[in-house]
Amino acid sequence: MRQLKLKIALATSTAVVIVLVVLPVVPLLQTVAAAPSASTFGSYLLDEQAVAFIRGMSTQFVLTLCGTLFMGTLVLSAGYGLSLLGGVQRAIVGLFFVIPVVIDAGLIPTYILVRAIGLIDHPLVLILAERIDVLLVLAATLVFARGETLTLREAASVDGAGPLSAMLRVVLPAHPQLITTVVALSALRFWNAWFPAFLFVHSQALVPAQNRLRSMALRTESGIASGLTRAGESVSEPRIALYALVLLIPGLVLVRIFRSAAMSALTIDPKRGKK
Amino acid sequence: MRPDTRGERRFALSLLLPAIALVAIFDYLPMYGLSIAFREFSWRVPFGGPPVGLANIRRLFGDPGFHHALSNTIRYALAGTVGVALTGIAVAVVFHIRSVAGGRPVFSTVVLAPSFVSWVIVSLLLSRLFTVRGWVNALLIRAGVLEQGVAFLTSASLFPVVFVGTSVWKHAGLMAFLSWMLLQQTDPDMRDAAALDGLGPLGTVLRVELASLRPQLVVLTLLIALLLFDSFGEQSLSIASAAIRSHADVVESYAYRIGIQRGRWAVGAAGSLVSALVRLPVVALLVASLVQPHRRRRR
Repeated sequence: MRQLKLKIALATSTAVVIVLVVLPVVPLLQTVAAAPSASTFGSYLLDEQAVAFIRGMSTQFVLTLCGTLFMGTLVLSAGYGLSLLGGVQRAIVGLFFVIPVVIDAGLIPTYILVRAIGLIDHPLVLILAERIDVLLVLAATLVFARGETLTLREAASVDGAGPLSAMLRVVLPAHPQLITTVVALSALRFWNAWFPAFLFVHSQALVPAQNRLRSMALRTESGIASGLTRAGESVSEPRIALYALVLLIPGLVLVRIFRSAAMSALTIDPKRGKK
Repeated sequence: MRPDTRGERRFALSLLLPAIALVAIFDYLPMYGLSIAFREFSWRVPFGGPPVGLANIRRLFGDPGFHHALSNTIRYALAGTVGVALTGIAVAVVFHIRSVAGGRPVFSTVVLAPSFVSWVIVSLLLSRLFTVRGWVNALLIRAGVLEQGVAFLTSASLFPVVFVGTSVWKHAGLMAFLSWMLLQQTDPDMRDAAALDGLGPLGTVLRVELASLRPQLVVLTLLIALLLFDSFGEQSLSIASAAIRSHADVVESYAYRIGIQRGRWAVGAAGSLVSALVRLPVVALLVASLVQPHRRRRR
């Protein structure tokens, strides 16, 4: 009887959680489905506003690709480098990375710095303004500092591999889940990025899809009704919902990849609860 | 592992150098830039104007808008941290019991997803749920709770609930996932011993496993509090309207309007400084939580 009550409670809790998480997205799907006709739906992908959004999508793709490559390389190399250092040196460098996580300088000094060094409206600002993920660096350090990795490095060294060869040909290939985790998280970060462009970009050529969607959403009826903006040239709701789904779905795929890779990288068996 | 050769140490530092340079430029330089709060600002010497003492701080605290922003930041951070922590741990307990009982944690990806949805999309979702003709109003009218729709996003009394609720919806999944990963690492022998003592799965998790993870959960909660502080600026700027500014502004969005929109850079920097100071109690608690277990072990 107790087991049955527990099963019912678990099933109910699971259902409640799923409903609360998924329910907010349902109106989006309903709005897309309410598009007046197939031809109208088609125009959402072909007309002038669509061209602007697609241009934004290509900016978002390029930003995600370049940003992921840059940030992924930085995180993995910093994590590996930190794992090579001795106890005191590792603590000092680790502290150097951690301090900005807890003490954030905030918006204005960062904006002033970016403007002073001439990065306003520069493509690089979209990547550099997304600061390095320190917690990911520390997680990578923990993985690279494990006993198995040390053994691999020593074995590579005995076989005559230099430090760079050992890293690129032995250690990194032995941690595909960590690399996948870092890549997935970095890609998610840049795919969802809108704030750096909001702050530092005025040129239309550099505006990513997230920001274009935001400015379109401000011109919908809901945007006006929610007080986000005054009435202006309105954009149809089904169009906005469609574009939002186009931006949402790749993100959900990346979340799935990240979740699986993160669990494997820490070698946690979800069924047995053993490490 | 200590590098055996100087070459390995140089290799390690060469790997670290790009990250160190990036952090030094984009994190430490702006920290120094907070000194603008005590200077007269000029674009010719952005971080080096003549000192003006507390004049900018006085101007900041003389603005009633800043008082609203500061009180909102503190209230939302407290409520959001409690909400995220309790919800996240509750969901993690459900995950954990399911996974220990042999069930697949089928909804872990679903629960994690909101943490990785951009604020642009979240604001879109909110505008469809909470406007007068949105789903929430339609549901409440159909259930007989309301006679006509309520403008949640422009209501002074309801907007804070929506703001904090959105923070909880967005961040509880990450708290749940990380708490669950901690629970997965508890000793299975502890679980078996608790079962022998007559505790059921829920009792085992609540009284044994969570209790053993209290220090880590405290650290996680404090990190979540810092994450909330970081995200409030984006959240406020994406979901709030001018109509509800006194309840929607947080210190970072206030600093954005005063500094970037109106060009009052020194006062805006003072706002950023206060924003950094508001986080200090959380940072102090975090450091204390990290140091305390080490002190206990040494004894």
